[in-house]
Amino acid sequence: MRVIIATVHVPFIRGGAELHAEGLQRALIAAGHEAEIVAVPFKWYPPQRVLDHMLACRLFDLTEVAGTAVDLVIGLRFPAYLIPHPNKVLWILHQHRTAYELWNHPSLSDLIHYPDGAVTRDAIRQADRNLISEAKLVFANSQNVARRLKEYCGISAKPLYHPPPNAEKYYTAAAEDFFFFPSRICVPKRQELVLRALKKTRQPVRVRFAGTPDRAAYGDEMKSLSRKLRISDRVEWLEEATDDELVDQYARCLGVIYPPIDEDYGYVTLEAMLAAKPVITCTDSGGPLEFVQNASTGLIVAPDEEAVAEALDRIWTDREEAQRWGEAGRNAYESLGLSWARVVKELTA
Amino acid sequence: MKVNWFCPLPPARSGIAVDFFRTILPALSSRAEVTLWTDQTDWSADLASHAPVRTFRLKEMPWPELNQADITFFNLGNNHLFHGTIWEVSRLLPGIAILHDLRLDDFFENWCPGLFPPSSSLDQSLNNLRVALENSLGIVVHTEDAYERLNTFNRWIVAHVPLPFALPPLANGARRKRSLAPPYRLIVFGFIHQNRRLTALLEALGTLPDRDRFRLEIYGELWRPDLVKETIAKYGLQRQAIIKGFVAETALDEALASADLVINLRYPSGEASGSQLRIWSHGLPSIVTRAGWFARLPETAVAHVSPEREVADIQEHLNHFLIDPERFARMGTEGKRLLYPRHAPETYVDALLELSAEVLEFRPRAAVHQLVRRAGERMSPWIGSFHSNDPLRSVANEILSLSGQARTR
Repeated sequence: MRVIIATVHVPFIRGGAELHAEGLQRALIAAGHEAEIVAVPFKWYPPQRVLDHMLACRLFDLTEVAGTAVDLVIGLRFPAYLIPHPNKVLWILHQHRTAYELWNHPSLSDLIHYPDGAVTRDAIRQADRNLISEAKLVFANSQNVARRLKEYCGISAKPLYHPPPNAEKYYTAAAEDFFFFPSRICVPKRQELVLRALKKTRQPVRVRFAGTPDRAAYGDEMKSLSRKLRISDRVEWLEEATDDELVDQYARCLGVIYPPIDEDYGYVTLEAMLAAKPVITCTDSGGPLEFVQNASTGLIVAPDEEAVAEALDRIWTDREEAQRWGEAGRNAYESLGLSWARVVKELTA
Repeated sequence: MKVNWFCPLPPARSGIAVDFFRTILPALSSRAEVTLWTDQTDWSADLASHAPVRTFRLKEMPWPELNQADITFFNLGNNHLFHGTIWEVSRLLPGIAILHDLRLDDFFENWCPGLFPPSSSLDQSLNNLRVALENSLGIVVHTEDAYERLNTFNRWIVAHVPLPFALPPLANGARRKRSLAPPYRLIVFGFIHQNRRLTALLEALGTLPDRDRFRLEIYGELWRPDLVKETIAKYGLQRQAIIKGFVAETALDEALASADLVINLRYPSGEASGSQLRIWSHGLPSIVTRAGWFARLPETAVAHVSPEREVADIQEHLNHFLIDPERFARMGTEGKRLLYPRHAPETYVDALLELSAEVLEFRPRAAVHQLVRRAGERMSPWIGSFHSNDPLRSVANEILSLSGQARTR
């Protein structure tokens, strides 16, 4: 089949969503299909721009290319998943979140700050409710995303997990004296919470952050905060790590700390499990909660400095328990049976 | 339902603040979670017992807080001092405009001179209004005439909601019995501008053979006291017509409680009248002009006067009154029956909330309407080069699909 993966791309920003699309493309090709990624540029402000992009997506014609039919469109992200096609399957990574669960969020809200925010929110919701159902099948990349679709739009979606990129490369090694926190540096990932928790640990806990900031200024802000908290000597920033270096960090760390705000899916959890490392996450972290079992493969704690500090201290002081939890995590990953082949089979059925 | 309410607040010297708003506030705050918004520096302390009062400044609008509400109401009237900043906010935040005047000509002229073409006709006034309210989702008007005119634009959800009126304490309780014997007490009250036709009334009374069987009391501010006095003198009505001037509300209600007939003429303008509701609240018969809102009042509740033969009609009604005062008394009773529940504050607030629900359902389409405009602007440079309408149809279809509406062929 000739398959188009329809997604969006915010220029100069690269994260899990881009890796997701690329992983799907490779898997489709490996299964013998022709696959191409069509990424629509996306800008979400001012609010009217969101509607402009929605209309732009509706006007794209992906039914054929140079006289040859496109057999299937797989839509991943808003508003690219609105692109019409007679044979469309959605595998939704997330909707436009500030029109839904983040509408009123204290730090991640966006639309609510504009006078026409409510009108735009309502239009986005209406379009989702009406147009997602154009697809012959609707999948979500996690239970969390499926739950939101049901809760806000009344749409049933089947959760469909997939392996993280380079899953075959992960291994484990002896734990060294640091926690690993790989992620884009931005408010939703909550590096700030971890820095403030570090200030409250009783043990000399160290954290190695890996990832580039969405905004350079925010990255500087985090570094400045670590200086202000006088924990710079316990913090490292690896901004330009290669894939192999990341795998190496996972292998050598004591555990992974990953406390994002209501993450859609979150590769980090699965990568930690592949590296047989325990994961500390938070009760409001979304996707990771589908995989971490409290006090069995990691710790699930309240999203406050004290609770995170206590979790860091616990794993820091009990290395044997940490190792047991890590191994249990790897076993749990194996039992999930995640495979791209299964994903491709479901999406192309 | 959470409601933002933009309105001049008491003690602002505005009828909308003092009469209208005071009348509906208890019902509004008991039926919705209301936040009052103002840029006034002071307001009556007792408002806080009904709803929180928040202040705003145009340059630093607290949009996240405003967006917590389900819907926002903007009270708009013709006085730029009370409604200028409210209108400015309404241009940014889509909501429901409560239109207290259909013609906002004075408002535009004083608040934003030059922004709108001068209005020499009602059509021009309405066109200005259309532009001024283009960001509104819904409009509330108080007359059927305004409702019909605004509906022709097919631009907003328009609701005609009869003016609210709360019974004054005197009208609720014991009231002096009217004499129904001459001399009968006639009353004119309010801000007596030219449109209140006082000189015509004085002419009718002055040339009426049985004029001595009436006493006319004139309450309120006169637009030209000299002219009124001259007219009274001209017809020798010094004994029958007494200028009482501006009096407190309670004094006016006391006067109405013992009156026999009220003359409430309006021409050429005939907007919905709080005065008429007050008349009815006292169970009083009234003579009104057959124009605008008043023209639609039932003959069983008022006596109509044609603008083109008002003196003759007034005299005819006064003569009929002398012959059969009981028939007029029944008009007053019928008027009072009409007042409730039709004009009850609770009825008014219920209508506002029903409209809100309708507007909320429509709101997603409002954003799409803006999209239509922007798409048109973007396409206009090359729109003439199309050989067929297909590209336009395609855009129109997809805009319709976003708004959940059926596509065109």
